[in-house]
Amino acid sequence: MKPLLELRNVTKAYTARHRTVIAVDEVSFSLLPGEILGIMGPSGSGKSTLARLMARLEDVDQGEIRLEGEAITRLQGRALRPVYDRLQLVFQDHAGSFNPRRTIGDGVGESMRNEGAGPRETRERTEELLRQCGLSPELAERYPHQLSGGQCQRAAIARALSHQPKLIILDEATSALDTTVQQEIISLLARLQRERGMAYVFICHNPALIKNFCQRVIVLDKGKIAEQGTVERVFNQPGSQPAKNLLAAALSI
Amino acid sequence: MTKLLTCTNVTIAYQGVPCVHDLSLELADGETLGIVGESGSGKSTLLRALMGLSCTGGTVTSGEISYNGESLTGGSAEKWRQLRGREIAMLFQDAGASLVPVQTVGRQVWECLRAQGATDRKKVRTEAMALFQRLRFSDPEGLWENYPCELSGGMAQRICLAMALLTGPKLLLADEPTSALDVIAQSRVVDELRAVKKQTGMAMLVVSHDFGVIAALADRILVMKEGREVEQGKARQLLNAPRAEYTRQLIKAVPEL
Repeated sequence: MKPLLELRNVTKAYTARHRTVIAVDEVSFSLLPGEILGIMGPSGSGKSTLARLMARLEDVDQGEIRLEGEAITRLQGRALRPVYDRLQLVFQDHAGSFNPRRTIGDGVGESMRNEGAGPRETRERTEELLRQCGLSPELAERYPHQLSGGQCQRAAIARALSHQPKLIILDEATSALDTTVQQEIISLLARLQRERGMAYVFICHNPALIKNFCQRVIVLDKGKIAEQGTVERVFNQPGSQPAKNLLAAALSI
Repeated sequence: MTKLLTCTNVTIAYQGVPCVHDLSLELADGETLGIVGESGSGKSTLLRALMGLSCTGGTVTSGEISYNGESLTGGSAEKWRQLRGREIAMLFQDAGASLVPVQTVGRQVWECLRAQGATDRKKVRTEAMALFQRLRFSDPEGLWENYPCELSGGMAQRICLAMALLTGPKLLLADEPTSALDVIAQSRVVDELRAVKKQTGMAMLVVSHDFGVIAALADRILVMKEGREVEQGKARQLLNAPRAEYTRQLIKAVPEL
């Protein structure tokens, strides 16, 4: 099978107050269609930077990113639109990812309108997507602040689906939620994945969630890949110190 | 024996709308009570009331809160101020936000203790350094000169914990002390809270939606839902054999490693 997404030696550094921090350091991996890949690491290990680079929200300093074999590393502006038909993001800050002055329905239906769908079609498709994500279609009329964290996150997933993506990057998408709501969102993601065969990159600092949801995992530490492998292998026989630290730190009942 | 903190049939309302109903709890010296529940269950409202903070609009409409046998309900702001900081310390979820962004850590620690009556700056620094070392901060001297923006979220949280502990309080009220942190920073804060409890015998009231954190810290647990008590009991017993269906659901929702 040809990889859906490929990263080769991707590097990104930031400079602040005369100090340079290499946030992502020579990272290479590939993702197959329909695969669920977890990325875990402590705060500051470069997880979110990596997500932003993969999604082309930031430019890499060095290295290459390929989506379905096509290099997207240097695409800018309009040329990126076809990328976002195939690749979508869901962030941690649920309320912040919708325009506070526009309704949820507006937000979810935006890409349909941009593609020239009429008001009626947009409304019907938006309501269908909300339903698929376990939300009442009436919520389309509400504003982001009127929704709970879990509802907002479901709406953000509905919006991502409006593009029929092949890959969704989930950056700590469940981390700000209660454990019970977290479970609901994970089951929703698992169901959508079975129905649509999408791939996920699931970025999370909580090893327990990765273990229960992902197939393969990358452990990131100080911008580098410390270890990668199947979830089973990494969780049963962690080979690197960063992975061992993460597993040892997780609290259980 | 008088309990350190008691809360009897307390109801708390926002603009007349009650959101904590008829809640009672007791805390003995050196004991840790964990309060668990989902968002909106009234955990933080209850904790704020126990701190005498009504700034967010929650008012105790009935029931009684007492500390060391002395009733605090309806007590003056002055009375609360004397207890807060000295006897009762607080730690919030986003503790980093309670640091002043334009002052160094050292200056803030000093200000905090000066407000409690300290006069000798050198002595404060020596005591703080000893505490930083006890909490195994990697570079205490450097930390003293750092501004909050130079600290990670976990480090800022640990600094706030250190500041809360410097006055040697009898009771620590912690509202989601680790939920903004990653697992590694979380386990450090949890370890520190356990160590402090062991060393000083300080009592704690820890609020969290995360059963893992509560299980690691609490001697007793109170489960809340929609402002009411669901159940209350010894930690091990409640975790191993919860009586309420709701508690079972909450425990089941914790992802296992």
